[in-house]
Amino acid sequence: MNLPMHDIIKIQYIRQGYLPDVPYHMVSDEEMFDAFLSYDSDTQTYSGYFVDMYPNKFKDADNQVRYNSLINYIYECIVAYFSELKVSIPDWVYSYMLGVPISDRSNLQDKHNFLVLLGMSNPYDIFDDNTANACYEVSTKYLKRTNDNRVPTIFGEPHVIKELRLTEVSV
Amino acid sequence: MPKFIKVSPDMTLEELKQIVGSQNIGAVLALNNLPYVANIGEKVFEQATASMIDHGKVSNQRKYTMLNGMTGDSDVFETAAMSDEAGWRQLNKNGNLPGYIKIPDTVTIADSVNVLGNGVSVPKTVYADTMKQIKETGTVSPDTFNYYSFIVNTGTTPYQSDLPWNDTKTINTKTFQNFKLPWGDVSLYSSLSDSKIDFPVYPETVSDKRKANYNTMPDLLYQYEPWQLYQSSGPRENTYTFKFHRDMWTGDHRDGKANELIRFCEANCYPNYDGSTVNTSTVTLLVKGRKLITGVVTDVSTDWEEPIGLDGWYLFCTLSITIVEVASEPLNYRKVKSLPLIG
Repeated sequence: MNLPMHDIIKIQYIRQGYLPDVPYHMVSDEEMFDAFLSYDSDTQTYSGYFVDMYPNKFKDADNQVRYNSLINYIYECIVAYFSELKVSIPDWVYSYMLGVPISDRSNLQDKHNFLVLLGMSNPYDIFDDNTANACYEVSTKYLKRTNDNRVPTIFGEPHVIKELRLTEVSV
Repeated sequence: MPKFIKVSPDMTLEELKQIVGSQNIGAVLALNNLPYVANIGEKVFEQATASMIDHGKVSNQRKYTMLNGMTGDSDVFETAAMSDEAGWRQLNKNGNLPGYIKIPDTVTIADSVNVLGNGVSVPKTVYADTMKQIKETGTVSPDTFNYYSFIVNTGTTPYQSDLPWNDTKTINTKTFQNFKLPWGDVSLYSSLSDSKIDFPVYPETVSDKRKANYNTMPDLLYQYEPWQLYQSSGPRENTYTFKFHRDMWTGDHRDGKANELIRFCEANCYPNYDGSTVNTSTVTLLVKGRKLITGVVTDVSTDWEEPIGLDGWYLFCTLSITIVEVASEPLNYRKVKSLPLIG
């Protein structure tokens, strides 16, 4: 199935160098997902766009576990997409593929605005363990409220921003 | 001559595209034998590390030959000449300066601090000095280029210095290269050697005085004040104190330059014996080319203070010279009244 979202992601990855410099319609979905997140069973490590944009640099053991849960869940979504079940990729996974959630590697202005919204603004706009803990709490609260079964996130996903904004206006 | 742009280990392909343009990225990657990948900075440094492992030490003759091909751009020449061993290996393997990638001639990029290739030819004296050092030792001292160069040979590559083949010595920057020393402003001329020597500093303070000597008329009675009889004027005797550090000349206090200055001053306290003739020296202290005082040196004192240098002697010196004026032409009221500020 040729989804416009896949075309956008392929164009972005070609531009950034995660895919070879070829016309985007010549790139398969397998190559696209492989560029996003691939798993090496020999070294048991992940690589790709996700690892570059959302690196596991957390010192807190809890955050390490949460990160591993998130990355494993995303990888299972991709595997499920290519399985016989042909499960569609959730929108929030596409958001990671486009680099939308805020992390330490995000644009400085976006990071700053998010940290201010989270109430964790610091002089160097660093996204650290405390920020990840706060994101996890907000994410858990939102997912519980919406009865979503996915794993909570430790990054600044759109639903985290939404929950913070709703809290601001006391909804 | 190709230009070079600096690449950091965390540079991404997007950042490189912003510098050279998306339409030129293919040509740039092809010229540097780099793949089309997101983390282009990492690949550049992987290549450089591989070049260190694959190739042996670069001979002085090979360095000489490579530098000869870079004389069209003085900044490229300087960066290459001051490379450490790792840098020379990379230059030898793929012609790239360490930490830089080549830009094709067909690509135009704006000049900036991270771009090498200024199109200015290397000056002849710099070329000759550099090539001589390369031939003899294989390394070039930073002061070959100029005192204000900020390219320092403390390892232009970011590679770890614990690699067994990296035997680069760290050459210290000159301590005073960022201070404006008034070279040529203050100098002492000696008539005995018909030569002058420059001080690296102005005297700490200058106190000048002139005086006149009068005798009183003796044995006069009932005078409301003694009669003053003019005897003579002067002598005008001034002490000039200079405070300097032995590093102020070349940055290496073992160069002997400070000692040269001190001995030049002390020597003027002694005459030259030529058979039965005794010739003494007349000195002139010049400030900005103007004569401040001409006379004989009657006192030279040096006071040394810590720190202690590498040769076991003190580094900080206070040099005081006392000069008694011997006017080069007769002085009178009118002449002294019309003297300039420095004189």
